[in-house]
Amino acid sequence: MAGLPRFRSDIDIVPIGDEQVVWDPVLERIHRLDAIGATLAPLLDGITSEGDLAADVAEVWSVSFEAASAAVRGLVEQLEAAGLLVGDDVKLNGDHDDHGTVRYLANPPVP
Amino acid sequence: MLTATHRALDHHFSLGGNVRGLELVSRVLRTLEAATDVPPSSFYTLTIGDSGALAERDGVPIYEGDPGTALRLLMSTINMAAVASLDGALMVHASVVGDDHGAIVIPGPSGTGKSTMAAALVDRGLRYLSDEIAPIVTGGMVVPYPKPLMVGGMSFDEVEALRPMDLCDGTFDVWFLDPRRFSGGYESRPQPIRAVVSLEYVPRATVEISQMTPGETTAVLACNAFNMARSGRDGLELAAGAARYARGVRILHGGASSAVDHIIEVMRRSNERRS
Repeated sequence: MAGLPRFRSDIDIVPIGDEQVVWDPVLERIHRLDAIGATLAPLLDGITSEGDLAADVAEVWSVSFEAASAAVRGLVEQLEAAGLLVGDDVKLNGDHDDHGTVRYLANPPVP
Repeated sequence: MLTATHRALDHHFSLGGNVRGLELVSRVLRTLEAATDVPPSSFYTLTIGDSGALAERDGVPIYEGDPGTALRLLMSTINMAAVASLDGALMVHASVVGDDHGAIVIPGPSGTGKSTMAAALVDRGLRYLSDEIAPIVTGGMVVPYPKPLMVGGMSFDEVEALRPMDLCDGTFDVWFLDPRRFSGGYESRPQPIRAVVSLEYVPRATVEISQMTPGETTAVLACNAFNMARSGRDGLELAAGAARYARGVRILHGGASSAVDHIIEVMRRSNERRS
């Protein structure tokens, strides 16, 4: 999973402006992807490897491969921690309240 | 056929009780009166005697004890039924006030000062829509739910000017404020959402204001929805629909009176932007 990250199929993602808001129906949590996260998220398709994604980011944003890799890894780690990627362990005893909790997946390192 | 006498969103109900209880609950719920031939789905009663009060729904006791708590829990039961009554809406836990241009939605869990803020804002002449539920529907609109505005004892000092002429004889720890008496009145038609204000109350804090992005505004609305689990993606789309057109602002405050000017300013700027 770590090499070919992919969103769980039951996740709802709604774009708004240059951001995305994510609904996790299992944990009943709301998440927000900022502009950078929203740009990268569609590329987490289970086909594109983190390395290929970092290479694309480095080329498009004209940054070093190392900086791009750190940005991609940072986003993937946050998504993994939130349990949003395929294969993540979903903990039903999380610390969310009745209405869910806003967990901001904001600001992965800017290349 | 029994017909409903009151309506809380799409929850139609009738009231009963003994003379004293029915007089009180009818007076408190006057803004929910509805001349409708829809059969009521519930029958609420309030019976007040010398030893206490009994609130019931369809003959099942809700609470037995002091009249103030009985009335408050009866209102809570009606609110819960109202939340479940409206299909196709995202039911956000929020206060809502407005003016001729639209509405400000103030979402937040219990205890964040929503009702106190709504009271302070209507005291400044804004129109009342709700202090509990903001049903958000398509097109970024909010449906009014002008139930009596309930202010707890901790907030009496902040909204002293709204002190009711009755219901404050010492037996009630909550004020049930009648929206018909607000200087700006109350709204009964759906309104466009102009602003979403997320409050954070920290005792004695000075006011700090920050803008929310549309994504943050969407998340705040969805996060405070009673029915997000049931509405799923549709609910998220409704929240995003509101956030696309509304200004999102986060206000850290130390009391309603310190933040109310800032919220009115948010409303004014939002109106200017559209004019």
